[in-house]
Amino acid sequence: MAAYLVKRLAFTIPVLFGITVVVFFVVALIPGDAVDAMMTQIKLSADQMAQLRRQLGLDDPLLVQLGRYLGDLFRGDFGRSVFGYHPVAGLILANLPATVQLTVAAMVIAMLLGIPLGALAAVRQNTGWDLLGMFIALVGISVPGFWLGLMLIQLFAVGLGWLPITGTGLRPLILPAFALGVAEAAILARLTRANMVEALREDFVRTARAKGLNQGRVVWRHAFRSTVIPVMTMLGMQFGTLLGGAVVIENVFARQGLGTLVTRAVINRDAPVVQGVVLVAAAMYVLINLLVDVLYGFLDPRIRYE
Amino acid sequence: MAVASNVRSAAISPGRQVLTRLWRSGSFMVGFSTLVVLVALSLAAPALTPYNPIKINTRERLQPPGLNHPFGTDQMGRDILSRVLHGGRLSLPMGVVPVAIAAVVGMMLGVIAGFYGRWVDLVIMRVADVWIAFPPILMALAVVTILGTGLTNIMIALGIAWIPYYTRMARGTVISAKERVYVEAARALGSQDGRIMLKHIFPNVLTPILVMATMGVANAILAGAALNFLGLGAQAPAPEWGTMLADGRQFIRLGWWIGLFPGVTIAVTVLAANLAGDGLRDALDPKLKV
Repeated sequence: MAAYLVKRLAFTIPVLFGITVVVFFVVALIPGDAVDAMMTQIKLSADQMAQLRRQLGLDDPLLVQLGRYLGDLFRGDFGRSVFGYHPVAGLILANLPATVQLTVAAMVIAMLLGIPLGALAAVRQNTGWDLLGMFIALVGISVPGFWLGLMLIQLFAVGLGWLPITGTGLRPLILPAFALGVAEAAILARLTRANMVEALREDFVRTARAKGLNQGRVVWRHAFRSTVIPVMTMLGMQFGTLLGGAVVIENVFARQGLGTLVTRAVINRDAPVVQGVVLVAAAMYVLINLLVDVLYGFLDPRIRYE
Repeated sequence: MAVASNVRSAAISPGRQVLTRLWRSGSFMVGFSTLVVLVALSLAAPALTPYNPIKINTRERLQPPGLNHPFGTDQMGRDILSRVLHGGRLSLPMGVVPVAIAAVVGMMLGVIAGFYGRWVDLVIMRVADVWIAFPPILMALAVVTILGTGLTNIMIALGIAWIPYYTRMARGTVISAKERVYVEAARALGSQDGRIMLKHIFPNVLTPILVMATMGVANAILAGAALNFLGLGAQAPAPEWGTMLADGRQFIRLGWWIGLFPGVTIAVTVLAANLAGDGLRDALDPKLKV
């Protein structure tokens, strides 16, 4: 187990390094530099611009700049926003919790809706229930989340006044998390169904039935267990999609978060902020998948790390 | 009976078998015909719609759906049905262009990596590992920061973001195909690398890539609509579906139809693409079904 962890980490570190390099070069490709971007806010003379470029090290060769960027990151310095000159690390820290909260809530909703729907379809395979369940899932993956969000706001917040979309606590989180989680629920439903249909044909399920266990116990204690790992894997892989979806959903609900931060930054061409958010998102994705891999061993004792 | 049908299916070409399976697949036929109708309606939009999709007509603003305006009119008095139909010309390519970019570039890189192996493989696949760690929408946002906003740029951005998925798929297939006897035979007969790749390796790669690309179309339409909704693609008053929703969002309270019809159109298009994709996957390669 320890050896596996070391190996897995050894693979993760170069990927994280690669992500950083890619993000650095993406910004290096943007026409114009930070000083040009500042010109949209304050007027500088050619001399002042040249001096500022020297101060910021923008005249140095790219590799030197890359080295400095990596060093700064290591110290937690993500650079400064072109607009307002706020430290990017501070902006990210201030907005990260809201996005994580939304993403986790969407995952919970996806599991609460998707897994039972998939299990129902599998247990009642080839019946009307199965067909209905899978049709709901198909609609779920086809509906744009941002549009669903707009409609939910209209119906539940503006129309019926049941749920707020601003304020603190869990209640304002329900509608955006639902809008973000529905597509994920649909994917989990399809996956759960496919795995449970297989599992229900296995010998250990037949044995459990032969022992006279009731249907609920057979389904949840025996057949469902074998679907936990694929579901976990899918959730890990889909974490990136959820983060991307959160960018859009935050804008729909005008929620604070990395999504609204990065969208504004892209429109303003605020490169350091885009750079920071994309870097943090990719790193989170890599680390979550590392975590999922490690969790396998606890979930399925048959897996041995060698 | 089973033997007889096996004999018969062995006699017809694999291409014919796929077509027969597609013809019999309910989900493919429903999805595909819906897509054909949507494309036809968008192409014929200028001839079909009596209203200008962009011109403002304040006297007709916020009309509910009725005989003159089946989908109602928006806050500027523009006919929503006309806008939705014209919008297909902007929104439907969003499903095809990014996928085509990702599939072609990704497949070429994957074939090269898988065929040449060693350091070429190592470099391409490590870059793909890094690339795939970026959530596609965020990668697309980064690319849009470089290229600037606009409809063409978001199609390129999404295409770039999806390349590594196709690279991985193509490489995996090439690695197994390259060990086949006929490839060894071609090499023994003195065929050039390029010829072997084109004649013997490519056909193997094409099926899984085609299946992946078809499934990707639905995703691309959704992602494209979302980026347009964020204001990074087409700009108002262009009748792109995502842009229409962004443009009219403050007015949905005054007229539900402003939000409903563009959204339902996106959902129906994506649903049709998903149905067609599922059907095509089952017909081309039943083993790939999840």
